[in-house]
Amino acid sequence: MSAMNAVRYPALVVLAAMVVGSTVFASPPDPVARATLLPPVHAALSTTPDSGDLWFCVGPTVAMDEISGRIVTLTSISDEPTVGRVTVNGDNGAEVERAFQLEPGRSMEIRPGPFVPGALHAGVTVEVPGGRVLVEQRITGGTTDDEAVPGIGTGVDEAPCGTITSASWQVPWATTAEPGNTAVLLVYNPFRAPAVADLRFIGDLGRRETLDTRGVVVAGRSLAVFDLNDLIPDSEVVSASVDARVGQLVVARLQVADQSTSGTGGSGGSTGLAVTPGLPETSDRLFLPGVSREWGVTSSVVVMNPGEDTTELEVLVRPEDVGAFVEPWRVTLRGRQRQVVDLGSGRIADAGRFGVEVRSLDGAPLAASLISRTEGGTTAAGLAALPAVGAAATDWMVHLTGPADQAALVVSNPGETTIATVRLSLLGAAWPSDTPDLYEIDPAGHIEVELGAAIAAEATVLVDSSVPVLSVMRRDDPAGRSSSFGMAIAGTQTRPSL
Amino acid sequence: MDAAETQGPRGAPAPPQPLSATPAPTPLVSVVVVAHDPGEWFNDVLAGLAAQDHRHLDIVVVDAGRRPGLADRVLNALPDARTVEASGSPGFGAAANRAVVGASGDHTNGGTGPNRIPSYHLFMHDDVVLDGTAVRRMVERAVAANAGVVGPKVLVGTDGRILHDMGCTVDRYGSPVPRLHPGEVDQGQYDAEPDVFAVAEAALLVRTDLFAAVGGFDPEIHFLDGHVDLCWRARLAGATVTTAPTAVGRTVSGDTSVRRGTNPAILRPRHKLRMSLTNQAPGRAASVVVELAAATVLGTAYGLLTGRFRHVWGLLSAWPWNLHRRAGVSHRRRIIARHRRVDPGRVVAGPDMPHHAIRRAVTGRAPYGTGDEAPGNIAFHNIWSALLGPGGIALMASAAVLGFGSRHLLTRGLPAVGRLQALPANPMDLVRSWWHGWRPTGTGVATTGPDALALLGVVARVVPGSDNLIWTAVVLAALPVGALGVWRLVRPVGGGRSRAAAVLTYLAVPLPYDALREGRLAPLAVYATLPWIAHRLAEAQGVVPYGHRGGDPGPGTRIRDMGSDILLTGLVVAAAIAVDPTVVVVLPVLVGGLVVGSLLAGSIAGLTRLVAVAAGGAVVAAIVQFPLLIGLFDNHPLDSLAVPTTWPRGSLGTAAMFTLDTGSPLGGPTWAGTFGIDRIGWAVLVVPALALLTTTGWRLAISIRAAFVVAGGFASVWLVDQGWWQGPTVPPELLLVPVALGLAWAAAAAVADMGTTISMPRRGANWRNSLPAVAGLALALTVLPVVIGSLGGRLGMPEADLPSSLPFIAEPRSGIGETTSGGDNRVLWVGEPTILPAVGVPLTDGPLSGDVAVAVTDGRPDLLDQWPYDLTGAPGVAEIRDALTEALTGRTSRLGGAIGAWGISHIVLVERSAPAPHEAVEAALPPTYAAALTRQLDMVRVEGLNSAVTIFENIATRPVHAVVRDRTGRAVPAAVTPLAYDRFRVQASADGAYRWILGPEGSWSFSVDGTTRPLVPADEAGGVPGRPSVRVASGTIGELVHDSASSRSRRLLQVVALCGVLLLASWLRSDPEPEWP
Repeated sequence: MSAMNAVRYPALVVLAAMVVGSTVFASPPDPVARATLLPPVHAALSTTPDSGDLWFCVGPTVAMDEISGRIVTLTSISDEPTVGRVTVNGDNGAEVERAFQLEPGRSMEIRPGPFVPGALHAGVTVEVPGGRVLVEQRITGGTTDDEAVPGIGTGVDEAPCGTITSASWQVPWATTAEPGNTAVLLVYNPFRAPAVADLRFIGDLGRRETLDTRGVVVAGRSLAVFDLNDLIPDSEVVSASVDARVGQLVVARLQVADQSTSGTGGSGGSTGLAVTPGLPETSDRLFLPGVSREWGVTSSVVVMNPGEDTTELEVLVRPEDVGAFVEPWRVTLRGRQRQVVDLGSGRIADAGRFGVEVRSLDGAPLAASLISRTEGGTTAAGLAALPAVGAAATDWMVHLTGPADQAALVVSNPGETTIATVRLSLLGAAWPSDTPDLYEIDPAGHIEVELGAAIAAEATVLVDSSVPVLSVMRRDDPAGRSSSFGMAIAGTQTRPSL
Repeated sequence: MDAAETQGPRGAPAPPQPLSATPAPTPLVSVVVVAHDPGEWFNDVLAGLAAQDHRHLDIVVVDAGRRPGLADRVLNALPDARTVEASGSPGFGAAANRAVVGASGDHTNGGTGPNRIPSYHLFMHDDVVLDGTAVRRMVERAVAANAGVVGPKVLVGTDGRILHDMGCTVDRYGSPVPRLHPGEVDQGQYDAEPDVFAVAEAALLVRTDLFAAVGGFDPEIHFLDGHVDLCWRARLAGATVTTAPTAVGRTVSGDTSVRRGTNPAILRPRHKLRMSLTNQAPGRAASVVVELAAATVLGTAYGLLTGRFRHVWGLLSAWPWNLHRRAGVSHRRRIIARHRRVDPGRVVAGPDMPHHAIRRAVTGRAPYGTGDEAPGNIAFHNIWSALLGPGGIALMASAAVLGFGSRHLLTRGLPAVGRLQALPANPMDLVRSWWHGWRPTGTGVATTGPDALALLGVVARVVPGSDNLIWTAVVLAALPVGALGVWRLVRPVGGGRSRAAAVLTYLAVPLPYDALREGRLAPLAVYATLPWIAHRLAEAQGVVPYGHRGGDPGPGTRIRDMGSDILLTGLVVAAAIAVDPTVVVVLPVLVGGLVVGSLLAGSIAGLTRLVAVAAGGAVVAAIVQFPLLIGLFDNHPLDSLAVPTTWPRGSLGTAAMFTLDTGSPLGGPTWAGTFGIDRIGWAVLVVPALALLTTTGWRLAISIRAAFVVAGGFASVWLVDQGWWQGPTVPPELLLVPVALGLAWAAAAAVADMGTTISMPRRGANWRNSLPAVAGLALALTVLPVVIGSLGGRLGMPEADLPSSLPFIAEPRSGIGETTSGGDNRVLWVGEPTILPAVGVPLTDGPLSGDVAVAVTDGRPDLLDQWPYDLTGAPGVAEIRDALTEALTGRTSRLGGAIGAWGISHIVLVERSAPAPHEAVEAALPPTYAAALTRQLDMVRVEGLNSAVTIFENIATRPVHAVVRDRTGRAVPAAVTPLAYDRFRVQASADGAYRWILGPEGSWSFSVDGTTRPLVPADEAGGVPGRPSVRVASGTIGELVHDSASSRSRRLLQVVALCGVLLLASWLRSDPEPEWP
């Protein structure tokens, strides 16, 4: 047997080729996929049967002196019966749970007050496993149920309930200015587990962070109510932050204004009520569509810096007339401070209808809210507060429950580069022929569609846009003014492009 | 004159010595040579007799053969000698007896006076050549010692220095025990103790009166042991049996047994039984007979297991053979009784150890001795020599480092990480799950469980001590077992330094420590077994130094036939598969590397055999593991055998791949190496690279083959890391084990070659002299991280485990006899599959399906939950997974109700493999998971625990065993008491339909008082929605039993197949004849 005599170079050549090949054909590593939550919108509606919704409605009950009615309305847009469950939690610890079945296209009204006798406030959770149910609530002020009388102590708030919970909430505006203002912060924990939250308040005199507002335990399935008049008495502007250490919450602020006889201060003369959801997220770009200059109505934007560092921001006015220009307000805010920007200061005297964008100049997250109030001497109740949002959606539903001639649909294009092509339609009905249904909205522009008498009082407007837009329903009836975002179709929300 | 002085060339007889000038009375010696068709050497035997200086010889040659012409040969050499015919091949003893009797009655033959009756008989075989003084010296020794029997010193004729026979002793059972072992050189070591139990077989001088008194040779003992029997009886008669060390004889015919057509394996059991019956005292004989009967049973089993069928036949046939000759036994006992002078018990009182006697009786094999020259002692000395050499010192140092490095693990137990979870409360559950093919994991699944875990269960039950420590020892044994495999693999390649280099390289790669840290079992199994498989394949290829192809085999190489190679290879592979089936992934890499490397080295020698053995071994492994194959043929997907593994494209990277420092794919760019030192990891490539560049000859061939095993491993890792492989993946550590093996193999070749070239300075240039320093430095850098890592005492494993952070859900399953209400609550684990404490299924299908997995366990996970299963066999897990997916996508807010139907009481989101702040593998889940679960209205987040986990309690859970009331539909928990692993006693607590949430559906039956109750199908009247049930009344007590007949049948067949393969391997591996002189 001959001795083994191996050769070296073929193996070296092949190994070298393998090394070179692995270097040449190597691909860069995949970027680490970071699953992110969709940007939150106040109400996101599922329109497919395989997706369910969970709605949260918070507000006062008729047991409260200033409230004459609160109705939570469930409207089916499904073509098949919908089953679900309603849970009502009062601020007195009462809890009631009921199952329901909703026939196709039908509505159901729930008055939370009788479910939780004695409770001044109630949180309502509506579970709809099959989705395709619109949930809204209407709160009216006054002394008689349902029929709010214009004038003193009256008002109306009509808005979709929310579908979002969060561990962090910002409430930029409330007022406890005396006399005639009542403000409460509603913290609703709809889940089984208790939540622990830290509450921070900013009044006119600065921050208020005391031990009694740190580590507040909100029991599972309960509604905690914080009377801002007690906590921050006589403050023109009260801002609040709620940060949950544990659990997730729903936060809203109830503001009741009865200052028709008062002529002092910024809130003088305003009358009405508003249940305004908090902002579940902060953003460096916030949008407030659907502002208009009207006689007897003052509008202001409250900007809030929830962070600890000083930031610079601009409040930009986006007139409907794209040729118009309004000098932006430039604001510097220290950490955990807020400032009121009065849009009626004359700078936008000729701007007509417009939208507002709050933009941070250094990328710091902000919170903002738009407040519209009737001026002193008017007889109409008018307090509307619209939370600023940082997200938009391509598809919206806006449910119209009152007279259409008192409502206006505002569609805003927050993007700065892309024209939005928007088609309007009615769910289950034909769009009125005398009203255009197709619109093109310039970047940073908006449209306001007067729905008019051609649309039935019970109608659902569908907004279908080529790019993310914002849809706001403004109502201005004798009982009061209200302004609220519509319901985005779940999954279509995204950040507006610059 | 000693033996050396009388040696002739090549065993030829020494020249005759001159007669003494002074005649002395010399006794007549009757020489009886029993010839059985002797060969040409017989002339030398006769010449040796003719040359004896003892002149009073009466030579008789007994022709016991069949070939004619012997008398003429005798007359030519010894004219005075007589030839006696012994027809019918009576055997040595009978022939010798016949010659003695014939001689005493033959008055016509020569000789007169007092010398007519010989004083001694010298009985000789026909193949021993006596030196010229041998007879005289034996007679002198007989006279001087007053001995009855005297034997010569018998040397090997072909080599006069080697001892052939110096007599023997017997053990308790009559087995002759040679004083020396084969190949022992004559150094006079036995000369000082001439007295023996029995002298050499080849020639023995017996005093005539003694021979007559003891009845001569036993005629029934034809060959082999007649001299032992004769000496035994002589000693009973009070005679001395001794050896004359100066009387030298030489064997010249080779193996006598072969020439005579006799088989010791068959004859010896007969003889020793007969000798015991004849020569032992009655009481002792009875005892020995009983013990030999037991030894026969054991020996029969041993012979059947090892394929020594003639040994078996010898043992079994000894009894009827002796029974048939019992009359002769009685006769001989009477003869002995007349002349016995010594207590039989004192005769057989040699120094032999009892366990050696038992071993001889059972196996037919025995150590030849217990002296310094005994093989066992030589091997022991060799081991010590190896350990005290440079390589051995390095190995002992590495063992010390590993022992020191794992001290906390060995003393405190292994933390439960990944697949390395604790043993069940009853370790025998591992065996039962294997046997019954059912496990409670995943709401109850029927799967083919791992064989190795069943074996572990047996070990844990049998071995005293903490189960956790036993489990720890088993897991950590992967390191020394792998190192020992490498040691044996590279043993033929070089000396101690090369073996040390290979073992240090293999132990220094971070792979096993990464696998430990991440709790991966499969890489550890491959790490331990792959060197042994490679060794088998290398020997199967048979290329030098692993065989005769291309040169002489190296030390430690055993040449086997192909069948034996195939069976052994298959068994090793099957053993690896028994731990984890995914180990088969690396076998093509190993075989491919060897084939390609051989081709590129320029040789195809042994490739066909290599491939054939590999393929045959795969077939054998498939036969042994056929239950797994049946599962695959039963439409179970391949990936159901693999634990889901996360391996995003490019996450490993080139540096981690080449340094074999995988860490975790989840470790990210901040990964700094297993022991925090990643930059010197490249040093592991230096010595193997030197092997490619500097070795020559067959060492170069080994280096190239090893290099392509390395290249194959790297290529497979690279292909997966680049995303070119879309199928189920295995951990990178597993694919890199062939790389580690190849590097160690090449390192051994490099170091071995350095020793050769350094010792031969003319062959190499001066630069070669620096190679040892370079290699030593590289090896030092390679082992440095492990040395540093050993300081922690845990080999990188965390100090605590997840179960310690989850006390309230870490309750073990209820034990036998422990009654619970509704059965054990279940836990749903969600997280990256590697860090989950139980094997789960991917949460979603698709390319990134391994990112997140879900696992369902009954309370605290244990080893029963670490084996993958097919999702189609676990509908509960499928539904739970779907429900969780719905919750994550926001389609439901009542996840608790959906999964509560399967008894899930808690959901645990796992984001670390160990609790904070201990070092662990981290894999954060997207925030959507916690957010989605927080939004569930029927779940409560449990706060205040470790950040490694997020726990949700399900308030809508339902008991696993419950009676569903007819009217309300409410599930009332039943009282459940486990009676056995797969049998529960259930007591109904209400009237209604008893339903159980134990899979697989349809394999459980409920019986009351031995009568099986009929099942009410799901959704039928009187039943419950979605599940079958049984109508019960409140207080009914019945048994819920799992039907595991098919699994038991498969396991039985598997055991039979394994035994068959083991038997065949043993038969093919064993020597057909016992190693008995």
